[in-house]
Amino acid sequence: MSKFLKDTVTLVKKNIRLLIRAKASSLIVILGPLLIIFLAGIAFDNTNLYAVKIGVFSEKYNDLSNSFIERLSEKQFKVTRFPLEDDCRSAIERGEVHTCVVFSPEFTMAKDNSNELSFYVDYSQINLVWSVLNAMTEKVAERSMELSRNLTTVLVNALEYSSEQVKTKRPALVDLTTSNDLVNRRVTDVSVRLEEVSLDFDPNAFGADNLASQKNKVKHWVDASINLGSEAISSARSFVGNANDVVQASSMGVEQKNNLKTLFEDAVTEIEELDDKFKDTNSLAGEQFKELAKIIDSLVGKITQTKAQMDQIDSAHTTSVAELVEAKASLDGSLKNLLDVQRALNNIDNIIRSVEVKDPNAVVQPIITHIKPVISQQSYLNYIFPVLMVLVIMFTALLLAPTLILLEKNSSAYFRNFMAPVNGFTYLFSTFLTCFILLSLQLIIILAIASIFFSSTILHGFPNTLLVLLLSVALFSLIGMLVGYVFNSEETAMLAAISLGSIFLFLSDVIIPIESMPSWFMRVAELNPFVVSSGLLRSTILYGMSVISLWKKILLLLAFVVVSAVLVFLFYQISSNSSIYKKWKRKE
Amino acid sequence: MVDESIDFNKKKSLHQDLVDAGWPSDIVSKHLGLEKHPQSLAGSAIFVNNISKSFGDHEVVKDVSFVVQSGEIFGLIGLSGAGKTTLLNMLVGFIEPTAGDVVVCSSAGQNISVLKSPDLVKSVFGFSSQQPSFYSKLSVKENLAYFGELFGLTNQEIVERSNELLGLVGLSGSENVLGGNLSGGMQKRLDIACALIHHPSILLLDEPTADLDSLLRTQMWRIIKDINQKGTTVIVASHFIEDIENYCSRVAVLNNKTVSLIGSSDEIKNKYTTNYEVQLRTASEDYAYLLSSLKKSSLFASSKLAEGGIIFYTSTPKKLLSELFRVVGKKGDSIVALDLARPSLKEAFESLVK
Repeated sequence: MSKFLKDTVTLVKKNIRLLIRAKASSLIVILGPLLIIFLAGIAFDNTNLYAVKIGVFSEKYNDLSNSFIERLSEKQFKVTRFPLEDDCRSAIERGEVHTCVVFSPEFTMAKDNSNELSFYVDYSQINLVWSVLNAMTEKVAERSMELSRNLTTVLVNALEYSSEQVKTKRPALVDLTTSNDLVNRRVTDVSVRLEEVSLDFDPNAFGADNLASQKNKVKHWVDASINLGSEAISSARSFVGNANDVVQASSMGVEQKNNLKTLFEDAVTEIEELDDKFKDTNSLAGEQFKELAKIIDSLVGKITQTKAQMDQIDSAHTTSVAELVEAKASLDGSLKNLLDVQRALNNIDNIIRSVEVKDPNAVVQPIITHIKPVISQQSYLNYIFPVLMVLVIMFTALLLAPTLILLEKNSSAYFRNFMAPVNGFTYLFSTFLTCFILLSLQLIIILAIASIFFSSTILHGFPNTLLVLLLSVALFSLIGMLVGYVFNSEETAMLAAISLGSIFLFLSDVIIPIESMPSWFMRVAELNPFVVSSGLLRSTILYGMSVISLWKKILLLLAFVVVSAVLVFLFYQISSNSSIYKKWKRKE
Repeated sequence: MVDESIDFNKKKSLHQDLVDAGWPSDIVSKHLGLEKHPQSLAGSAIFVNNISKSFGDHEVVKDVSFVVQSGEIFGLIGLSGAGKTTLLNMLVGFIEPTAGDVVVCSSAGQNISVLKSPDLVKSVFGFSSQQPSFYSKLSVKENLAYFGELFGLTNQEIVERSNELLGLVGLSGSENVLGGNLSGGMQKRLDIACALIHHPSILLLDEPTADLDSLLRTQMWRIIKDINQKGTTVIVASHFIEDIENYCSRVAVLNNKTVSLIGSSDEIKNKYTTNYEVQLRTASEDYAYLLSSLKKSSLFASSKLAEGGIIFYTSTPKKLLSELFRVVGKKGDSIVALDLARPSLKEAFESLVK
């Protein structure tokens, strides 16, 4: 074994012995990380928020507000009702509650816009407020979702009923439309027919006036005929008397005369008979003419009456036709309306049918958000484990390395070590190696505890994780050593180490996301060794990423290690000279 | 500086040859340019060659030169803040001199510059500083083993050497006691044991008896003597001048930032004081009458009251003694104890630094 290795082993052995025997150091080295991981394990090995205290205030509690409060009280929240809103808010300031929920005065589902929930939170407790708000809004959202689901169910049911009714009543509407159309057509036919019916009544067409004049003419002609008949008869008689006289006065034999006389006499008889009959006929004709005149007069009266009636009928016809036209127009309008209604109902039906999402749950929450962790969540510990590891590494290294160095610097054995033929680099390396070994041991313990007791998935991609862990250990050990060599008293070194650790912590995403910082500051924070280490560890532990895919950050970490190592060496040289001077000053 | 030392050694060798041949030493030294070196390096353990040290503007040590011979116990005395510790620290290379060098003569006969080869001389020196320099949280055995390992001793060597040293410093039986739990005297002895673990040829002790009672001081000096008798050169810085006077073969007086005097105790005393010390103790233990009677005479230079009575410093002891007898007898008092001694190194030192 070379002297360097032998000396290194001797120095590391001595360092570990000293650390173990120094109570404070032992606490830091062994118990500190164990305590941290144990407490963190207990604290974060769950997925819920415990002991969140909520204050509530409502001017008038009702079933709805009470249901919200019950929902909040169901699990881990402790709910306190306050009589006044101001009391509720003050309770946050006093730290009695974490948040105050104020219900709007008319908090009821009957109202449209009055259901407001106001949350009062204390943003100064920034790490708690988001958790509380998340938890609160989750619970409130659950209840709100229930209510919304009920309301939506009613609406969906109404829609479905409407759709059903549309579906059921559509044939009736179709019938109605058909009937309407039929009636319309009939009305049209009637109207056409009525329009075709000519009710023009010209009494003159019946010749009533002519009839009267013809009656008079007939009377005249009858009278003339009678006169002519009478004249004819008289003429006949005269003619026969003259004929007889002529015959008698003729030279014709008597017999012929007699025969002719007889014939004449017969003719006179017949003329008499005819005259009688003519007279009878004349009398009868007169009576009949009177009767005829009476009939004609009656007929003319009736024609006149009929014209009047026909005029009335025509008027009624005209009115009826007009009314039929109107009725048709109405029917047309009705039909249009019916068609519109039908179309509208069809549209409604189509729209209702086109609504594919009819499940109230789906309507209330059309987009179901599944926040799926990239790793299966078992507890918060899994999420914070990488950060926790780096945190332990960082603080332990930042405390351990200066402790070791200051133990040595302020040790009375410093002088004797100087007198030993061991070069400075060996001391430097042995200090680094001691830190490295102790931190590695701690990590083994932490990993073992975490994997056994907290079901952490830390062994996922372990070789990659190991590399990142070792680099982190090296980096923070070197930073711790730097602190140790820069400062000369344990108090100032501890203060510096804690301050440095705090700076690393505050400029990381442990408390607030670095994305919330100003952009230029964010770029600085991204170069924070703690951020780089925890980011790498998160990638390897949680996502199982390989170091090859993370080569940029690995290189950055390596660069940090190299720069830190150089700085440590420089400050070691400066510190050695400086401490000699200070030791002399003290002695003198 | 090493080269110069080597050159010096050659000159020294030539000087020795010439002196052996009958040439006067001072002439040869002057001729060879060796007169600035106070002594020859032959048989020397360490040669301090004109070293100076300043911290900022503050000059602590200036142009100090001396040689420590092998096997001697060399004392270094000086007032507090005179630079004794700084000087010792420069000897071992813990503090780098502003000027000058320290040359160590190894057992192999090599002269090694502390300034140029600090690591080479580390094995030559054992240093027990004023404050014990070991780990209080390690046991006696662990401390010895730790420093032994750093000096490259094997486990077997460490065990053997530890046992030897524990016996030497009287810590046998306390092997497993933590260093911090030891008493002050034991801590000092452990510190010396640690300083000796690697068989150094030169042991430097800075105030080895500070904070120790007289019994422990005596015990400590006995240990130092034992160590010295085993062949180790010892350089001791102490403000206990009586101890230095009693145990050191030679003494260097550090005064005004430099070694103002170097030599044996007697040489120093003879050079810086001619007074004798007359210590008297009377039955009445009333010395006022003595002082008032002798005040007018010039028989003593100074006096002081001590635990054992009164001490007079005088260059004429016989006359003083007869006068003392006379005054005491006249007073009716009687002399209980009377001692006549040469003045101590302390007086010489005080005379020197006045």
